[in-house]
Amino acid sequence: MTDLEELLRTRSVIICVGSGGVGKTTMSAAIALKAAQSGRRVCVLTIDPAKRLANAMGLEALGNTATRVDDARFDAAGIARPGGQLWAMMLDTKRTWDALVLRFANSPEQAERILKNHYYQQISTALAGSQEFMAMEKLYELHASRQYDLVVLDTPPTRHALDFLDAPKKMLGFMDEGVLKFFLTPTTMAGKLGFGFLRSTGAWMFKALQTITGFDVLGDIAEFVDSFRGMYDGFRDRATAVEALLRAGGSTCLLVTSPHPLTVDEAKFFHGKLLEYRIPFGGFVVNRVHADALSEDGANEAWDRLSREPSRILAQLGIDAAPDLGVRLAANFTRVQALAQADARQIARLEALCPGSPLWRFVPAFDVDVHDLSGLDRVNQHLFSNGDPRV
Amino acid sequence: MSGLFDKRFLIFSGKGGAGKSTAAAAAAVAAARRGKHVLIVEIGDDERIPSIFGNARKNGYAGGPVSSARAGVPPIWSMCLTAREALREFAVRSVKFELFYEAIFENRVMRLFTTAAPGLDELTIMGKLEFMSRDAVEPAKHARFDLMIFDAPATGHGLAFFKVPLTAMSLARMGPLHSKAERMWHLVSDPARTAFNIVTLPEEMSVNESIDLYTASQALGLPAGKLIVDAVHPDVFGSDEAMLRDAQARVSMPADLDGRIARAALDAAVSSVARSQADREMLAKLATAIPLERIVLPFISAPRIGPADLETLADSLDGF
Repeated sequence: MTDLEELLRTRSVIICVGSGGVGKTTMSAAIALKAAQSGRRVCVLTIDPAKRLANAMGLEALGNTATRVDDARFDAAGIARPGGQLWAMMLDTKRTWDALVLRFANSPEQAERILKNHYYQQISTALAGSQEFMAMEKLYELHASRQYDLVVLDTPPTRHALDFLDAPKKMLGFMDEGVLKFFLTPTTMAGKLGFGFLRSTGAWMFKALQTITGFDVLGDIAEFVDSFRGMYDGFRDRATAVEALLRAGGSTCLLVTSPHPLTVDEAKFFHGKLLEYRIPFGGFVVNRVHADALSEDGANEAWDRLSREPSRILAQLGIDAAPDLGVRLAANFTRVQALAQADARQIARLEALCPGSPLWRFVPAFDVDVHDLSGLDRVNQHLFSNGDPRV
Repeated sequence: MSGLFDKRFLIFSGKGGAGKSTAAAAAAVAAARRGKHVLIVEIGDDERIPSIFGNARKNGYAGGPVSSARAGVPPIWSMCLTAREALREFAVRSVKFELFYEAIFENRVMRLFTTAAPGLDELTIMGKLEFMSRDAVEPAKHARFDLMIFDAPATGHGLAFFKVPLTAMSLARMGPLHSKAERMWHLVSDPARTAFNIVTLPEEMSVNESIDLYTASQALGLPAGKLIVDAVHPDVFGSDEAMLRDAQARVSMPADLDGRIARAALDAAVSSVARSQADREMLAKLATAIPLERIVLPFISAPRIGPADLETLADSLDGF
């Protein structure tokens, strides 16, 4: 069993993965806060945070540059100022792409041609996998800057694990030399667009596509492919470096999930993929768990008796009201307990599906969304509790 | 104000995870109860509608029934479109030569680029929807359905999906594509046939996105439908809240088991009050920002929505 504090102390990259809507952003921010409080310089890279949480960390807009959470915010939230530093950044996919193009272009003219290309603009903003690719790129950049002891990445809400892990390779497919040849053969020697280009196989096919759909994509794609010549090596080396960073001993992946049957299924699938891709696996964080309030010996039997006499519930609580309130209290508690039991079954199922996880942490379902620094602090009381990790 | 089922093409849109598929399925159940023949259309690789109806078998592009007929209630059908299959069908229908299609669209490199061709996926899916709306939905000659319910893609890319016909019309100023795109646009923008319904959760992110979605859909000219708020916690304690909070402050941790359990039940009640209040704040925010008739669906505590839950949810849709 590793403990979470140790991961925070010893790792330089922590990636929070999991299905959409399980609270990855909140967990990433909470972990980053804790690491900063224990003296490290931390940057949390978030993808799509809720407005209020972003504001609480001082992130007003998609800056694509890290902002330090200043001490006044900790004071206002009534929590201790961190001994280290807490930085936060919201990923801007488009800007990260542009920066990468500028970095690897052989000349300013080449960069400009690509940045202006319509097809490039489509790929860099709307294409599935683009955001994942750039999240990895930004992670690498932050890590390589050596300004931070730890970078925590909140990953995009991918529906399939593969999207996230395969994005760099998939995106590189667009710049592959083989693809270039497909477009430029047999007129590579001519070196520029023109009638010769239109005789290549690829161009013929695009002509056909254009006839069917009516879209004039050919010109844009041809220009895009042509503009990227000579840049592929730079992109490939970068993607290789990113992959190496993911697998390095200083990195670890935490799988965030909720006890919902669907997300448990996805977590199992994700876990398998992480192992298959040899990404160091740190453990599970199960969020939004409904606590079992009847875990004490004999509590279930006692509740059976008590729930049949709603007026006794009110008497126990010293509430002087019509028995109807006792009936509603009982019905509500029965419903909440049913949720707790369903959650416990799903957690047991996940444990059986993914044996040997080095770490399990459980965070309860709070009454209201976590949306500020003190909320993150409250999450941390569960993430880093010394006692029974179960809620 | 027109009813939820007055139109023949119902779009259910909203943030991923907000319960679009569930709301679409519940709406289908409510419409079938009124004797309507309903087709639910979803898109993507991850078909979900049949499993919500308790069917292990998927229906795919060809479509199939998800419920069986009962007295006065016709079976509900569903189908799951993918852009690839829609493009294939369209290309084959247009060029009437399958080999040509294979050569172009099954080529590895071409697939790489067509997946990123601006708007191509959306255009082909929309084309298929428009084709079906003419061919399979009343008042078509041999119509099999009265109502087509579209479980629209998540709003991740805003309204990109519904803008595509307009883009296509401006790219192809005349010719067959132009008239096809024009027909698509007429379908999605026609208040006589279509309603654009927004599904949201009573949670901050979902509410903010829904407000943006509403504004954008109005600007684009999509005919407004209903606002469906999913998974709203019931307000079971109402005015007793103060009494509960007061008791919570007063009762310390009791020594005996019954007392501790009663205390746990009290804590659960106060939590439920807080959740319900948070939901009501979000409902109030929605009410000021989105002037659509609102339908509230109750929170279902079952871990997996099943056919019985759909009947419960359909009850909530019955009055609309």
